Amino acid sequence: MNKKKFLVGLLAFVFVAAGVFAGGAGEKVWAPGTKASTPDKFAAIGVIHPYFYPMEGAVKDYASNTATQAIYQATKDFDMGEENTIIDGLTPQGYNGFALWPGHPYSVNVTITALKKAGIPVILIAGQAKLPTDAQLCIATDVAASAAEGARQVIKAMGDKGNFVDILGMLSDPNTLIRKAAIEKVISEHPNVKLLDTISDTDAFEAATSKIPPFFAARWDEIDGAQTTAYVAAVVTSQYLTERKNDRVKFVGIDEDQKVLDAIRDGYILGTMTQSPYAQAYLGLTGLHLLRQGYTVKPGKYFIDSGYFLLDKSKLDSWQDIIKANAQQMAKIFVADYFNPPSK
Amino acid sequence: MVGEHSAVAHEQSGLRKAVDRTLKGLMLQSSLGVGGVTVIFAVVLALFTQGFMTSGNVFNMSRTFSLWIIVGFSQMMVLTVGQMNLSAGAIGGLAAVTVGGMFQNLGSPDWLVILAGLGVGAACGAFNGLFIVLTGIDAFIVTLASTSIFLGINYGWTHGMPFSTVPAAFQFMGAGSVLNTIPIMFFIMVFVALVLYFVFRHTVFGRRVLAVGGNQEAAVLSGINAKWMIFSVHTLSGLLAGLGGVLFVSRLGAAHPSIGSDWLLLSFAVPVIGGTSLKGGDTSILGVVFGGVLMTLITTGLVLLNVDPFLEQLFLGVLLLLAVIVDRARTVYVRGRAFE
Repeated sequence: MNKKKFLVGLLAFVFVAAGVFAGGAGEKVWAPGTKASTPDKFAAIGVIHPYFYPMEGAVKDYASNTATQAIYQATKDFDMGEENTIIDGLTPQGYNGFALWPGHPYSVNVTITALKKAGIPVILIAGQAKLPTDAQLCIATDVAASAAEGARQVIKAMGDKGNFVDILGMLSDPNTLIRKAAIEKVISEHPNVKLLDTISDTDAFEAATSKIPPFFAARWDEIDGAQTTAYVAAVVTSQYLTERKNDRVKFVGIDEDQKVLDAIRDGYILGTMTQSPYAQAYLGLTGLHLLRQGYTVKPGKYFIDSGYFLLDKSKLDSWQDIIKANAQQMAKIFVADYFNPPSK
Repeated sequence: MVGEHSAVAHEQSGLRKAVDRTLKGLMLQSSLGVGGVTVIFAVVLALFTQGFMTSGNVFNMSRTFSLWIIVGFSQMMVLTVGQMNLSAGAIGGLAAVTVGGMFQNLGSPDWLVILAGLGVGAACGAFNGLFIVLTGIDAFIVTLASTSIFLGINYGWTHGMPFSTVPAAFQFMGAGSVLNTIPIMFFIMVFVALVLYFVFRHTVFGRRVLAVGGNQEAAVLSGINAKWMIFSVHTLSGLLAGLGGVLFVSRLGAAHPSIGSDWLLLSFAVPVIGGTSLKGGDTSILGVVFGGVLMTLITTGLVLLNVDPFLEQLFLGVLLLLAVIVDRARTVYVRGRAFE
């Protein structure tokens, strides 16, 4: 081998290695229950999807209100690999706390454990990981309870009898399976209600438009009620029921797309189940700060339900205020209910 | 008497041969193979599902396959020169948010918005074409990269949030119908199909495109400007993807940034099932139409047949394979008979 090239290569390796070690040396790794020696530098990671959109604002507000460095990043797809790429890019830049959406309930735990070993706390937002987990907290919608409540509202409006259609999001999303089970449990508690069909993988417009309207059109007379727990499916179904000028089928969607809100206002659908992504992100970052100040999570506390309710016609003008009030109430009790102060 | 019998027998033999030749000619048409499978599948669904033949279901399926066929045409344009356009979905999405943004932020009139959506599509396609002909880099790589560029512009602008202010009049394209059964989108699709048929069948441009796809070197030696042909088909591909985006916004009544995210497989499956060669030089407009209808029937049919949602992808793959195997078997059989 060319001696000159070898020496250059060796020198380059020495410089890089020195940089890596020097970057890590001297900084004490944070451990739970201790106060961190470096300023907070946080990242909240979501997905490029309308549900996560309020999180960007929450991060900006948190950074502004607390004079903390905080950024919002999002993956293109609901993919843990993409999320890992973002985390791998941020940790060398000194980011020392992550409010993460769990790209995958099992795989995310590998990432969380690695971050914990590096002294970086993680709070999960908008979804849960499989237990046990090294995440300190999880702030998310109780998707099972939300789905069950939506199903109960539909069945109540159906008069406790008839055929019910369950429209699901991506089967690869663990939340989907939780919601499916919850809805089927509610239906099983009402003997006069039958699950007519389950339509799945509808959280993309192409799939939703090819499955939902044709199904409804073909079996219209048999359908008495329907529910979806997927954003795109809620939009497509609301659009279809609006076109149809529906005044019979009882339908509950999810989230607050304008198409869904318009359909509620016009009386074509019953309502939609809300969630609270803003609160999830804001409180997630707040929790990270507390942890790095030496606070610890109270034993037995892990999951925080960020809240949901049925947004129907009566709440069309006040739903944003309700969500804000719920978030503020959560913020009031957040520290006292979930954290122990630092030991002296 | 013997002579008369001979004359009649000769005439009957000639008639039989003519019918046989016509049938063979028809069977050699790849589009009719797919068409046959499509008809068979439609009959099966009509017999074994409830509500398949209701006007509402026919209307909704027609809207879906009309859109998918246009997306298929977008990819078909590029396949005819033996290339690929991986960015068709990203172009459709960018055109969609352009439409939404112009309505919501500028309050622009419908005609200007439609032109802008098509223009954005054509511009994106032209970008692809120009890069390919100037650098000589494979279309796969260029369009792979441009997918990220177009998506980046989309997401950078919208941050993933949809534009929801779409005028009711604009939504007529996506929601309107004739006789409550035939969607307006169907007529738009038929118009595009007829134009493309005319271009490939009766214009010098179309013939030159197929020549470049069939054998680029020979086409160049014949005096055809291959680079211009490649640039043109990519531009047209973008234009058609843009049209798909515009129609999707009209269909949904909102411009979602994720429009086009599922177009990649669709844009290839529709023309290829319909008989368009991946190597270039050959295409069938009717085949693309049947390919789109078949894909819609399979996707919708699996829902109507109440297939277990966890097994849906398995059935989709099996049915697609069956469709192409049947068509392949037809081709092999007929070509074998042709040499007898």
